[in-house]
Amino acid sequence: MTLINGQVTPKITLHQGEVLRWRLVNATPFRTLNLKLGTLALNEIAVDGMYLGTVDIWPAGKALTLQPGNRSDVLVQAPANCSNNQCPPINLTNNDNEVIATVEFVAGGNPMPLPTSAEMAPLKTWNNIDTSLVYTSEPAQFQEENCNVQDDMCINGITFNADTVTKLPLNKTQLWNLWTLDKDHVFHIHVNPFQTVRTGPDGGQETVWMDTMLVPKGSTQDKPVQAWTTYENIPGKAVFHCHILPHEDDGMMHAIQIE
Amino acid sequence: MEGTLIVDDDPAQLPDALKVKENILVVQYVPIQATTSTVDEKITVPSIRSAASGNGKTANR
Repeated sequence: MTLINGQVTPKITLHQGEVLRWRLVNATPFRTLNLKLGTLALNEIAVDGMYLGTVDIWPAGKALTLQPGNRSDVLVQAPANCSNNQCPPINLTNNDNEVIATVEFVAGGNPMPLPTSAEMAPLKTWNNIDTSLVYTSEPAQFQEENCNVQDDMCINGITFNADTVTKLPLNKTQLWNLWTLDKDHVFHIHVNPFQTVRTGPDGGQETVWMDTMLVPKGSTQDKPVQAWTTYENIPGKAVFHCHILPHEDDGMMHAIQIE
Repeated sequence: MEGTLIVDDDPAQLPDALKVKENILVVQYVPIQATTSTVDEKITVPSIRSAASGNGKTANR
């Protein structure tokens, strides 16, 4: 059963014409969310707490996907004009057929515009990395079997051990090469987000900043998912792990030391 | 629920079109069926703000 803020199928109210910002959090332990909002678009302005610097419009009927741990800030614009001033309610759905919230519209709102991409550009949280300046690269192979601890999961063959630490360079650009030996896994790193490329709502490739992303089944050492980071200003110890909770709990995590 | 205005960004830096009401929607999953009307009362929502805000998470094990 899917809940929102602890409630079963909550009702969300918008005034006609108004724009509401939703800060969506996939706090499920292991479910990928594919969200649609009836006849309305989800106007995405931030991913994992970082402004895109543009407005990505996920039109009605095209799902916004969130892996476990992902966040997305979207703007929802309620219709301003409906017949007899009565806009019919719509559903927020997951995987097309699971209604997880209902949205109703009430009269009396002040019509509001959505921001333009030009208005959002100055808010972009991080400037893109020049990927030609990669100083070092690190592999992360996610695997559920054949780990150094029997029956546990691991990364690069090593089940989590706080004393097994990979050192990463401060103020240098590093490339992550990520792949899986078996099923889908979700790469999540603490403290420092990363730049990667995703398929945007128009079907084109889009450079975005995230701290949580899918490493899909089918990725390989020769064809990895890639992410770039420049660790700026904050040396110290942190971890990265699979954000599928049972995997993390079974040891699919690794310590890093930035110095 | 209706949106409430949450000012956790610098308002001066936001375009007018972003000075809007907000909801934090934390999507959770529990492996049970909704068979009683009190199930939502048993769920505690942990640390909504830290989960939504992006950076600064600490290791949880």
